[in-house]
Amino acid sequence: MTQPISPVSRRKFLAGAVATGAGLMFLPRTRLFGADAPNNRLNIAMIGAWGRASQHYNWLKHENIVAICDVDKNNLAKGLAEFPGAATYEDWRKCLDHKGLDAIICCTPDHTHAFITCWALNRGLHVFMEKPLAITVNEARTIRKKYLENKSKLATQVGTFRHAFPNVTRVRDMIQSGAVGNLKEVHAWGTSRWAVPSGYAPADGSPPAHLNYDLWLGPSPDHPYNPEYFKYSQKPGLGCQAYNKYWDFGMGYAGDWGSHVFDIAWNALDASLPSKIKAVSSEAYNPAITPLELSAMFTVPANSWRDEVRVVWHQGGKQPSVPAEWIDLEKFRNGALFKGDQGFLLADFDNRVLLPYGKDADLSYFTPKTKADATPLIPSFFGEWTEACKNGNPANTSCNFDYGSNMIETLALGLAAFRAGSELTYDGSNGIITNNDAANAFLTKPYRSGWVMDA
Amino acid sequence: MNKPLLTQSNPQMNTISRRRFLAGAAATGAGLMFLPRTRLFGADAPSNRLNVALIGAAKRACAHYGTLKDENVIAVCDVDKNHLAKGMAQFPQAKAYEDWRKCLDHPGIDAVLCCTPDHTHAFISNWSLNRGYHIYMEKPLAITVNEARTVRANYLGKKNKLATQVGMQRHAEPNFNRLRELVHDGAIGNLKEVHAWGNRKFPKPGYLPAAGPAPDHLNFDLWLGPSPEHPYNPGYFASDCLSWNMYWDFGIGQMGDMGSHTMDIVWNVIDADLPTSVKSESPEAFNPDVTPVNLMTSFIYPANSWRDKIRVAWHQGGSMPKSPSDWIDLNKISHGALFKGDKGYIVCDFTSRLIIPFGGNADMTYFKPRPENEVTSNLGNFQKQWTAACKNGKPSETSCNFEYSANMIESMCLGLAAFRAKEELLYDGAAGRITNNDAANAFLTKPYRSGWTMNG
Repeated sequence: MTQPISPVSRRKFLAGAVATGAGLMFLPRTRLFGADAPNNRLNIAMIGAWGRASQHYNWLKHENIVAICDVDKNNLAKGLAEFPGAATYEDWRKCLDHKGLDAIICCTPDHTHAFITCWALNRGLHVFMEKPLAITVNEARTIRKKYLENKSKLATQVGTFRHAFPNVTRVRDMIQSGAVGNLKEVHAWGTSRWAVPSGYAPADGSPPAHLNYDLWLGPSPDHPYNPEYFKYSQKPGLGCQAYNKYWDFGMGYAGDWGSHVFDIAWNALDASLPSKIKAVSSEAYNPAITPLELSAMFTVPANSWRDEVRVVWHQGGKQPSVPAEWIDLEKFRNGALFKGDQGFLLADFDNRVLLPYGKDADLSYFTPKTKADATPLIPSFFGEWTEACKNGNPANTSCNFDYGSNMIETLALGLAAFRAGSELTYDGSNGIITNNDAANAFLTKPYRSGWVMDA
Repeated sequence: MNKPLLTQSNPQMNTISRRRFLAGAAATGAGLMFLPRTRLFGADAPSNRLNVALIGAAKRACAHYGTLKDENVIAVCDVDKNHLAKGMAQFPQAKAYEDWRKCLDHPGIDAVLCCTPDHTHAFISNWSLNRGYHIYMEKPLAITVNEARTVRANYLGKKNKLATQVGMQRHAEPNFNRLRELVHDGAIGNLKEVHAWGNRKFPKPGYLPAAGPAPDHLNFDLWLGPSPEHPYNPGYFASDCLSWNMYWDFGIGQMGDMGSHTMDIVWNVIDADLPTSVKSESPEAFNPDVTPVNLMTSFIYPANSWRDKIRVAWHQGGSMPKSPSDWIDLNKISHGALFKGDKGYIVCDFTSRLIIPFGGNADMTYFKPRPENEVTSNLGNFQKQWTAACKNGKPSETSCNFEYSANMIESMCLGLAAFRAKEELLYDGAAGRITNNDAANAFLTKPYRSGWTMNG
């Protein structure tokens, strides 16, 4: 389905030249002209023009925003005011055909992420995609396959920007150098709760003139308009919280804060996909709404440096316990706990606490990294992506679509296990639940006719 | 002031005990040392037991009965006949005493284990050291700066002969070693500041009024001992040390009580001796009867071979350091400590510890945990560490000997002096003098009843 893209953009041409002609590499272009010299800028389409996108304006001003797309005319106008001269689009499918694009940054609702990602990769565009990267197992797998085919050419990043916080790197280094002994179990959680609606919002008037609601629905099955879905749309970065709890529009807290918090654990694990998944919730399955309270347990196979570990994602209030009553876990609204045979490491995005535990917990088994072998910090999460788009090492982003899709596939499997109501055995290489045929239906979701994810 | 080891004025002392004779022989005759006696006869073989005087026979002493049953308790002393009876029931062969001064003259004593009220500790320590006895003294070792200094001076004069231990038995928790290792191995970078605290509060308005005569079984006059006179009141005997240790004449409040234990966590790490400056803060006015409940004392300790100058703060009765993390509720730690380095924090109680790397450079590359073969061995049984030191020719090798412990309790007492002085005090530890406030030197000691000599 890939459409021919012509003309080849300047950036893509030069990146190709760098990749093929060693003689051109003696002076990296970033040095020659400066990273944001006019001739070294990416031509970017910004899909989703305000809201979360407004929080990216500053760094995007170092690139060329050549196209802006939004289903809401008010948002489009705000984006255009920041990037005058850009072409404007209402439909991202048309926007992706804009000539000369190098890359896209996408801040649309969650149910469009896998679609826009696949379309962009298929068109040879670098992609910065807001989280969650996907909302079903099948979406995540489709993206990964597409990305892996293009990883030597296309730079990708999921917007889990807290990944660049130094603490996240240092947690990884501590775990992998033995601070808790042999890793046995990892928990991550977000405790926020919200008022749970009983189902999709009923029809309530017609959409305002500035909003193309039909395009907002995009690939989602039809649902009548209700302003409920847009009640946070004037709060940049929070708009998703009005709709992402509905199965057709998101995956609830797991994809929202889960993308950020689970990332603290995922970054330390060097995991791909779980072999078993089990979910526990006090709630019955609601066909409209993802569960609020959930503990999803994943068995993650052993790798070269650790045993098989149990990884648990908790949302809606559940937390693991720590054997130190002075640690006020209730204040850890979002956190991760690594449990080893010699203690615990508790972390959030900015802090970590090591609790040696047990009579042999003398830390003699801990070999902290030296300055020379400590993992380098990520100076800029956004710069990491733009640099990767330009420097001929496109895979060198910390949340590329291999890493990001494995993580979100795992969380989506947690929701499948919730729906199945039993432990699932998973064949990650084939993407099949092997002990419960019917549960394979939970790995995907229905879409509206006329919308194709991988086109 | 020190008396000779064996005083001619006390004929009973001429009976040199078997233990002391053998220890002396071991120390002087290398030829006798090729087989340590503990190997030859077994640690608690009859010929290898210490002759112990147990002063304070019940209550806290009960915690030591087990250890003492591996030794010979030859004398038991208590001012309360009921307590004495309990002790005698445990050690029926012992001779009973009411007055510790007489008890210390019992022939053949090797060692003293003392569980009396705090205001007698320095007295009994000095008297015992002066008579050449090993001594295990319950905490606090002293209740004034001057008492601590006198005990230390006597001990240092005899440290090659006499084994001492202050009853800070929590010191044997492996966590004490782990904390020392963490700080020394650089887990928090360079040590800058330390806080220790205890949350106990026992406010009292003043000494208790006269309330009837003492019961027949109690010799209240001897209980008062060196303390200035106070009328009998059963309130002093309602429970344990918490019925009296907050009164200036009987103790130093929580500094000496839980403070002895909790400050020990810190003291074991910082390799300090005495502070150069001491400052206290309290919302309370000085009460001539009762030590303060809520108090924060800040000590400056000079740099040593491995660390910079540090500030050490003791908090009690409501004063608390600020938590280094929103997640950690220090108020849930009744008795704990906080070590602050330039790369992070350690928060601990007696048995557990947390390491909090902190700051932009807290990547732990500076932390060099020692290998397993260099990890400090567990202390084992705290009381046994003392009885072993009494016997094995290495008397100073107890964790809480009277040098270590006198330095610590002298510091705490200086905190109370600074509270009374209401200003920061500069201290000359070598001379035991406050150098910026002459009047405050009066707070380094306290009045005693006539007829009682501390260093007797």
